[in-house]
Amino acid sequence: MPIEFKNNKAKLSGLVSVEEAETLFNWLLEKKKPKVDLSELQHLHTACLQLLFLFKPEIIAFPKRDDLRMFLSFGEENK
Amino acid sequence: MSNSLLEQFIIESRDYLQKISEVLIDLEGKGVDKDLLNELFRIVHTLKGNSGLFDFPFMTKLLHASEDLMNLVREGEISYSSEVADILLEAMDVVSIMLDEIESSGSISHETNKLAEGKTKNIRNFISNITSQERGPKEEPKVAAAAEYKERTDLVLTSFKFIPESFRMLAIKKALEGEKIVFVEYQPELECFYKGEDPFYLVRKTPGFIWGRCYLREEVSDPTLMDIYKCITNFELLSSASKEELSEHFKYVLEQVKIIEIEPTTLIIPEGEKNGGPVYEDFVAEARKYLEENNVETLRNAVKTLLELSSPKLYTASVLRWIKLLINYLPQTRNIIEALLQSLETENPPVFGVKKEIVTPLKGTIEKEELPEEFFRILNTQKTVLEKIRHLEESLTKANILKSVISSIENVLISLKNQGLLNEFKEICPKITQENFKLLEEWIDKVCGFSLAFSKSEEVVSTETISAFQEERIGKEITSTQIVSKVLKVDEAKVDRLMNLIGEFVVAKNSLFYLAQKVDKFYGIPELSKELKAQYGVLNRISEEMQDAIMQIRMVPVSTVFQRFPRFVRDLSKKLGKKVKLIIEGEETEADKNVIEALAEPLVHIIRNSLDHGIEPPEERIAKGKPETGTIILRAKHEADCVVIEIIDDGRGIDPNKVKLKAYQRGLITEEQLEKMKDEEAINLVFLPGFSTADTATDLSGRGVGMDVVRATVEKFGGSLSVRSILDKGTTVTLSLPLSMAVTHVMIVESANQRFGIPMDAIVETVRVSKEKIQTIKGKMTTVLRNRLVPIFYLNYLLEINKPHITNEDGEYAVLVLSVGDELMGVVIDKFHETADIILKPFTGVLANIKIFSGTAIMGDGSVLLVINPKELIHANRIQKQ
Repeated sequence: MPIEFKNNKAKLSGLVSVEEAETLFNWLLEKKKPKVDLSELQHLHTACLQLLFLFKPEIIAFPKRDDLRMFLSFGEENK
Repeated sequence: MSNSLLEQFIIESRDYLQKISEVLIDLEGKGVDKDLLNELFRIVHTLKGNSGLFDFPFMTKLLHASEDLMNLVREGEISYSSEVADILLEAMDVVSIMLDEIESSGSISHETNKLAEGKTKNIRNFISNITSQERGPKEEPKVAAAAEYKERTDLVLTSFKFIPESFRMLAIKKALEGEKIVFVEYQPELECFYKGEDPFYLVRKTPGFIWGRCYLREEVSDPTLMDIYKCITNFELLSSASKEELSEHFKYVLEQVKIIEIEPTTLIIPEGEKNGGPVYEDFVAEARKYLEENNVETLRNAVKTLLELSSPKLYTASVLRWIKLLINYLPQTRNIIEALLQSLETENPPVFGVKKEIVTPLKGTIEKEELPEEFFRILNTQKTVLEKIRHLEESLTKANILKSVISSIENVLISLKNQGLLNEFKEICPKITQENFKLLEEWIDKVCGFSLAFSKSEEVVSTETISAFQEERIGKEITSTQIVSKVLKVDEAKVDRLMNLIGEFVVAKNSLFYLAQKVDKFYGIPELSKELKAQYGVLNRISEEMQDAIMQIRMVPVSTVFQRFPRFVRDLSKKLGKKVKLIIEGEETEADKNVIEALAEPLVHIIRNSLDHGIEPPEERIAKGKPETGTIILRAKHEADCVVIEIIDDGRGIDPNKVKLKAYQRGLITEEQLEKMKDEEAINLVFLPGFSTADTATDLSGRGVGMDVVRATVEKFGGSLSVRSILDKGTTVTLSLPLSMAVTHVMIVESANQRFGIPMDAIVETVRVSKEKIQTIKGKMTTVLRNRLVPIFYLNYLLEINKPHITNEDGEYAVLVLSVGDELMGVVIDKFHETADIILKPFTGVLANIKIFSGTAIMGDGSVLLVINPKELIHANRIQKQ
C-alpha cells in the first residue's frame, strides 16, 4: 500500500497514484490534526499533491528526494 | 516511376504539405504564435531542401520564394495575416499539382511550370511591396510590442523574489556557464486528470530543472465539497533547457504553459534586513580598486571575511553572497559586481541597466537605457542569423539574408526614433559585404554592450552552440524520420493481396468441413470425420485470427479524411463571406480503409451543404440572436460494429414544409403524401434524387445532386444515413458505416435448387408459415406474424424464376423475415441452410448492372454463391408491381 494510515498519521511511500486520492481525501476530512510522513515518498500524483496543499497536514518527515521536497514547502510563501 | 528516392520524396512532401495547411489553420485559430511560425518556416525549408535533390527548378524556386516569405514573417519583418496564409496555401497547391504530375508522368508539364513561375513572381512582389510599406507606417506596433515586452519583463523582475536565493544562485551559475534560463508557468487544465495526465510528474521531469513550486490557483472555501479530480494546482519552474526543448517536453499541454526566457540578471535580487548606516563604504572602495586591478583573489578574500562578520540575514550579506558567486566568473561578471557594490553602498536594489554604459567598449556615448529590451533581443537574433550564414555557400541566399538583417536593424532603429544610432548604423552599412560582415557584428556587439555580457562569454562557444543548434535540428529531423520508419508505409496492393490470399484460405478451410461431412456420409468413417472436424476447428480459429489481424492493418483513423476539412471549411467560408468554426471530434476513431475512403465524398457534400445552406451569413445570425460565428461539428465514434459520423451545424436548419412543397412541385411526392407526411419524413426527402431547396444554385452546391449521391454512396457501402433538423437551430446528419466490409456474414438459403446468400444483418428471423396462413389482401400476399402484418413475397418470383416454392411435409413454407430500412418483409424460399463467413466479390463488367445481387462468393466446395442485396430485393418487387 502506498499509504499506511495509523490514527492521525499517514505514511506515504513509493508512488502515490491518483487512485489513492479519494482515500487520502476522506482521511484528511476525517482527521482533525492529520500528520504525514513523506520520508519514503518517491512521487505523488497532482491530485494527491493538491490535497496536501489544501489541508496542509503537518509534515513530520519530508521526502528524501530534494526535488520533491522543494514543492512541499506549503505554509509560508504559497498563495 | 522506379526511383525510390523520388517516391519517398513525393510521399514525404505530401505529408509536409498537409502539415503546412494544418499549421496555417492553427495559426488562424490561435493568432500569431512564434513557435508555429517557426514550424512553418522549418517545413517549407525542408521541402525546399528536398526538392533541390531533384531536377525540378521551378518547384525549388517557388518553394524558395515561399521560404523567404515565411522567414520574413518569422522574423517579424512582415506581419502575419490571412493574406500571407492565402499566398502560401496557393503556392502549396501549385506544389501539390507538381507532385501529382511527377508521380504520374515523372516530370512537370510546361503549363504547371509556368504557373509556378507566376506564383513565384507574385510572392516576390508581395515581399518587396510589403517590406517597403512596413518600413513606413507599420512601425508603431513594433514599438508597442517592444513596450509590452518590457512591461512583461518588469513584471517578472519584481516577482522572482519568491524563488529562494540558493536556487536563483544555481540558475545564475548555469547562465554564466552559457545556458539559457527559462521561467515556465504551467496551468494544467481542470479536467487533465481524466486524460491520464499527471502535471506534477511532467513538471518534475522537465529537462534542465532548477527550481519549481506549486500552489492552488483557487480558494477552496469548503474542502468537503471539493472535487478532488479537478486540477486546481499551478506550477512555476526555472529551467536551464532551451525553449525548444521545453516546448518539446510540454508539447501535449503547450497551450497551458507559458515559457519565458529571462534575462539572468533579473534573478540577482539581494534581499534581507537593511541595517541603515553606510558602514561598507571602505569595503566598497577597496573592492572597486581590486576589481580595477583585476586582483581576484584579494577581492574574494575580502568578500569572504566581510561575509563571515555579517549576519546572514542582512541585506548586505545577501549582496556579498552574490558577489562571492560572481567573482568566480570574472571578468564577464564585472559589471554586475560593480552594480552590486554600488547597491552595497546605497542599500538600494542594484540597477544593472545603468552599468551598461560603463562596460561599453569603444564609444560609450550611446544612451542605452532608453533602448527597450526588445531591441536587444532583435539585435541578438540578427547576430545569430549572421553567425549561421557565415558558413553558407550559396551567395545569393547569403546576400538576401544579409540584406534582410540590415533592413531589420534599420527598421528597428527608425521605429525607435534613435537618430544617433541610426546615423552610425548607416555609416557602416555601405562597408558591409557578404564576404565581410564582421563590421556589422562588431557594431551589434558594441550597441548591445552589457546585454550581451553573457553571450559574450559564449563567444568562444558560439560556433559550437550554433553547430549544436544545427545538430539538434538535424537530430530532430532524424528522429522524426525514425518515427516514420516505425510506421510501415506499405502499398495498398500488397495488403489487398494478403487479404485475397486469406480469402482463398478461408475458402480452402471451409472445404475441409465439406470433406468431413462427405467422409461421414459417403465413406461411412465417422471417426475420421470427427478428427477432420477437430482439425477444421483449429484451422478455423487461425484463419479468424488472421482475418482479424489483416483487418487491423487495414484500419486507418478517420483523421485521414477529416484533416482536409479545416482547410476546406476555411476556404469555403471565406468565399461565402460567412464565419464558421469547425470542431473535429474523435478523429482517432478507426475503420477499414475502404470505409474511410468511401466517407470522403459524402462528407464533402454534407459539409458543403452545411456551409452553403445551413450556416447563415453573419448579419442574419446576429439578427436571429445567434453567435456571429457558426459552428460545424464533425464527430466520429464507434457504435457497435459501425463507425458513426455526425455532422452537426447550428445553422438555419431544414424547413419541413418547404421541403414538402418543393418535393410536390417537382412531382416527387403526391398531393396526398404532401398532406399526410410527418416533419421527420419530410426532412428525409432531401435524399430524393433531383432535390434542392435552395432557390438558386451556387457554384458550390444546390444543384440537387448532393444528398442523393451521398445516400447512394453510403448505402453502397452498406451504411445508412439520417437527418435530423430543427428549424433555425441546426441540422444533424448522421452517417453510419460498417467498420469493415471485407467479410460478410451470410445465411445460405435454397430456392429452385439454387443456393443464395443473404446478409445476416438484414435477417430478422426464419419462420415456417403454413399455406393457409398466407392471405391475400388487395392482391398482396400477407401473413400475421407476432401480431404484425408482414407482406410476403416469393423469392422465385422476385428473381424471375418460373418455379413454384416447395413446402415441407406439414405444408409449410420456409419464410425469411427481412428488415430493410424500417420495413419488414417475408420472403418465401425452399430451404434454410447454414450461415457462413464469405469474402464478397462485387460483380464486374457486364454483370455490374445486376443490382439485385451484391456480388458473389466462392464456397468451400468450389461452388459460386450469389449474394442477394435485400434493399434491391424490395426495389425489384416495386418495379415488378408497376
